[in-house]
Amino acid sequence: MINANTPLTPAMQQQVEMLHRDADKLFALDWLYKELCAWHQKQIAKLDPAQPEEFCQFMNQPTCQFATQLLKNKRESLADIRILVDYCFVDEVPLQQLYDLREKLIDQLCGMGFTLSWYNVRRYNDSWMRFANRMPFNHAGSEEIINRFFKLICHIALITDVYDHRGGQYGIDIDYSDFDQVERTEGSRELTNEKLVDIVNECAIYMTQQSMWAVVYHVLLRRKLIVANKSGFEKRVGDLHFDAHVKDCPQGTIGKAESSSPYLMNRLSTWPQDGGRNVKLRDALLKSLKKHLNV
Amino acid sequence: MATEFKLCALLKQVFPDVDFENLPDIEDQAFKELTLKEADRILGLPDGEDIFMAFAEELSNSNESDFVKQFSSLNSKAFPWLTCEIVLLVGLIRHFMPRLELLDEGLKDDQDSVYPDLTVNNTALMEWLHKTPYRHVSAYMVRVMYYEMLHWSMEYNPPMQDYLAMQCSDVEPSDPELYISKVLDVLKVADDHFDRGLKLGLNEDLMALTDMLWEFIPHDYPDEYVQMACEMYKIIQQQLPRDNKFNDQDSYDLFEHAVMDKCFSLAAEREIELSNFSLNYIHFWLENKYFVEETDEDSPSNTLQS
Repeated sequence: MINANTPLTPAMQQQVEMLHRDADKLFALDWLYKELCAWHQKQIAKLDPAQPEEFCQFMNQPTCQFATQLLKNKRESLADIRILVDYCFVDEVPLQQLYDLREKLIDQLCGMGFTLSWYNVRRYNDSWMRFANRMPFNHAGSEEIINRFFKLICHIALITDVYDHRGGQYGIDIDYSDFDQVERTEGSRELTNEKLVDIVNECAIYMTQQSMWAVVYHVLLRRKLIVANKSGFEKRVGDLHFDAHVKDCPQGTIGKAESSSPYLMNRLSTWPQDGGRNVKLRDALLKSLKKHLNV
Repeated sequence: MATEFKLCALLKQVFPDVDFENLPDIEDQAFKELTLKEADRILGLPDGEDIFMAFAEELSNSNESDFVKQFSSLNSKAFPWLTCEIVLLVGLIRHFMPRLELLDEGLKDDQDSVYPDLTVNNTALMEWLHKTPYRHVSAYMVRVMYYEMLHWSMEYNPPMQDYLAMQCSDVEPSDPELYISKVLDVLKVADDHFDRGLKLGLNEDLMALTDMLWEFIPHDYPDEYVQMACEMYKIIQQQLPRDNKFNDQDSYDLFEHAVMDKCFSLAAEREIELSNFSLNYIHFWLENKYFVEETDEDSPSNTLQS
């Protein structure tokens, strides 16, 4: 998994961040599926049925392989998403789970190398051709990575569709109102400083004294990602950060805890699973956040 | 007396199974085997790295006379054994391996070379890594090789750095077999890519430029990209000052502007579509390579005063 310690170049870090940030737009692939279908039909119509060699040649082109493979894998992962949505525990929000899964899959996608250019696929209607022509089709030993790529990209596209309230076309029935409630609650930010102190106290047995405020601060900061009113929330978290220094939180502790525990920078779901304490802390935090946000 | 006791207790804590009264002679094969066996055991512990580094630090902080007295009271052979152990383990943990003969006599380098060959082309080393029973030592040795290549690419070739970092980000030496096979495969791919470039007659800078224009490695060095990299490199060389470094921000900005301008026209000639990602790569690479920020300490007036 890519994390803060992976020694990436600044250019790559920017690219990965951009892929995460614009995922909703980049992986809404309905337009691409339509474009590919139309293109494929047009190309087939051009071919001469009397010359089978021409047809073989066309099939081996990277663009044709790209189109057929992508369309073939379109609904491959539907079952996985169904399971994830249908068998969600009562106290879990399915859309949050989907979001976390997508973050993980995008990280996997970034690790493949050629996939970083995916950002440019939306640029023009035929930008996908440049992407397809640079894929390592017909290279020895690249079959596995190519199959994995198509599965991943279609999986992410499906998740994006469901996440963006377009799950109906796949027969996935999610109660979006629950999720909207989370958004609304966090958007209106009912979390006062007193409630924050309560949350810290409730989770205190799993934290070291020094990291308490930093944990809560980061959890809130990362949760802004699913909030509609981003700028307002950021401002609020900024205030909170400032408040925390003045009240109850000794000077400099957040900075110290940030540098000593890199996982604080990640979303709750991506915290290291091996240490029992982290998992317990995460669960306790989730529970008390939900309680205080009235979710 | 107190320090002596502390050291003794520490030794027993870090090496509980070693019989310090009956250590083998330094010439013996058993001496080397004991070193490797203990290194393997420590590296295999979940927090072995931390334990050992704390121990090494404690030793280095202790008084020299205490140190010698301690080992003379134990055994005259304990000191050389512990020195070997420290050199081997600290080297593996801190990502440098100065002497391959600590692993095996057969791996001894030429006397001429200052640094050992830590690439996948060193067949003797590769064979040792695959065959040795000390799997944790082997995994950490692979990590040393990985960092060697990573540090090289950090200096010369950003896309290779990203390739190495991305591909190896999901494996840890705590799972030795997986780590060894995965990382060596990745290193091999990167090395083959580099060799292909050398065969085409490209130097490090030209390879880096081609890779950055293409955005990732490995690839087949397509002609138009190689040509464009050559043209760009010529322009860079023309624009450089005599010592190949820019000291002030303004003249560097002008240089980068000129290079990037030319870059767009060259790409348009060859119908190469430049992405933001490529341009970002080139921007950071140029800055890293040709721009040195002048600090107050380096300025001549300061040196004169001091």
